[in-house]
Amino acid sequence: MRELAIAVLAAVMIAAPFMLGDYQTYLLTLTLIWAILALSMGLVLGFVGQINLGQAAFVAICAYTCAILRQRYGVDFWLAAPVALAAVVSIAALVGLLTLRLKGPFFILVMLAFAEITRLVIANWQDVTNGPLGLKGIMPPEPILGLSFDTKRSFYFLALVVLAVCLLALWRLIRSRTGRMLVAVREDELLSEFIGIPVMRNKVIGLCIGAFVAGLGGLLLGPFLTILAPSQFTLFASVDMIVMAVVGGVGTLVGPVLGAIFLVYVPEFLSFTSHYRPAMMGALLIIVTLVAPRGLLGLADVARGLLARGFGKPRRESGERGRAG
Amino acid sequence: MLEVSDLRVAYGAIEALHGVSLVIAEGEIVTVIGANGAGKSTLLKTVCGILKPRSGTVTYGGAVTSGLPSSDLVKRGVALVPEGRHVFPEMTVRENLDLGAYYRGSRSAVAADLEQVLATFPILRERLNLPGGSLSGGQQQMLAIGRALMSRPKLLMLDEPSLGLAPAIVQQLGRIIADLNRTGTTILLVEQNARMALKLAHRAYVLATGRVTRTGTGKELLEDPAVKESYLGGHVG
Repeated sequence: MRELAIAVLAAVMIAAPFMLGDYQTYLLTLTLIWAILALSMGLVLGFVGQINLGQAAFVAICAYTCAILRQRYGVDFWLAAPVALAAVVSIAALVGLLTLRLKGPFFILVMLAFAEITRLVIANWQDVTNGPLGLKGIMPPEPILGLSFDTKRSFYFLALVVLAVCLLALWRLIRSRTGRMLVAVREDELLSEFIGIPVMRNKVIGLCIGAFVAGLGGLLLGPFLTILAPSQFTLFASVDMIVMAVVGGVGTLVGPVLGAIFLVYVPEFLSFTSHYRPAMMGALLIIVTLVAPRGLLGLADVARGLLARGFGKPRRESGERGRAG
Repeated sequence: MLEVSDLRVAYGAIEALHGVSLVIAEGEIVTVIGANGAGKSTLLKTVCGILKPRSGTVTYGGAVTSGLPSSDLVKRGVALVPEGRHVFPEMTVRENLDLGAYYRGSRSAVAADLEQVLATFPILRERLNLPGGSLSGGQQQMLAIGRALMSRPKLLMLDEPSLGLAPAIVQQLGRIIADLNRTGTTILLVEQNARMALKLAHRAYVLATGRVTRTGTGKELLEDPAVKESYLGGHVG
């Protein structure tokens, strides 16, 4: 049943750009990239148990590093991308070692400061980053293995593959012993220490995995928008990721993807209100936490339960969700 | 096997252990009894590396281990069953047990140990795929002990395992602890339930407000009038 759903979904996602116009393909690609970013926030929530207001900084560092290497030094995208990912993961490890000892609000505040510092460095290091004006004319990735990415449709498939690989890799990670250890630390830090799990190391690993996925999103973001500017990486970018992860359903892999779909398409239909987007995000977050703390996935479970009861079938257990990642 | 000498441990300005010394030889069951707040849990947490002593040392297997992190001690064969039947409530019984063996590479050895643990606690086999939080109190205690055993400990430390359990379960637990000891595991048992602990133990220490006030064989302390008065409910039995 689940395999069938995944197959149908894959078929729809593959067929979609052939049936839609350029603009719809663009929107769909945007959704995919946001889904990757929301997923990265979901990982930090699931593995470190903290929201991370510095997530946008990880995206920015990776996106800028890759773009600068390409534009200033003429490095091929496929060479610049792993270097940028390595850079962002190293920075995440360093920041994690310094901040993850901090509990509760302190971690959140320090990461907020980290995000602001990163953004200010980008805005003021004119020689390298071109300051507030940003980097313009970022080209699509160079062709590789006979595939080129210079059309909207081909770039869409690149983003689709990145998201699919992320989901698959994380799905496997969560079921591995490493993943269980990460979840154990999140669930009960003290008990993990009692049974000898290196808590600090696991939290840093969790943050690094989150930064890696955020970096993947950042790599796509530059060529997709063709421009990178510090104004894209404010606090609100991290907040958007949090809202997507929470609206979709925290503690699942599918949740952030659903959240991204919801939050790209709903404002699209209400585009005349775009001025009020931050306020609407805030209101949405409040409503979801109050009414549906388990997000869209939680609502789907409830709906399925109601339907099943309506048709006189026994109600299904919905306890399997909400475990990891 | 384990030697604690002149251990002082403090939480901020408040010292909880004022120079505690004790020795455990390989193959022994040693129990530490004492009232609430005597420093029993502090002692265990320091031995397994969660707290750092202000002064004094913990020597395990011939090497000073105080100051090492708990993950190192688990690898050297020290396992703690923490107070209050701590399990990961949202993970299945199988996942909980597997976490106890997190650092061990050999899958086949872990699988063999899982069989061993399930043979010791048959009730866990029936509930392998249920979340840990759905078990009863006694079953969670079995799970916590089973998880500790999955790390193949040479020294197993139990922090008040009988707390809040029905008398029949406490008896069963006592038998299991004795069995584990017979198969070669050294045991450090910390208890408020002094009667059960003293009956099991080869030797015992009484801990009161951060100091060792009495020591002897389990039998000696069971008959000691002062111990009877304070820890065994006075003159009764």
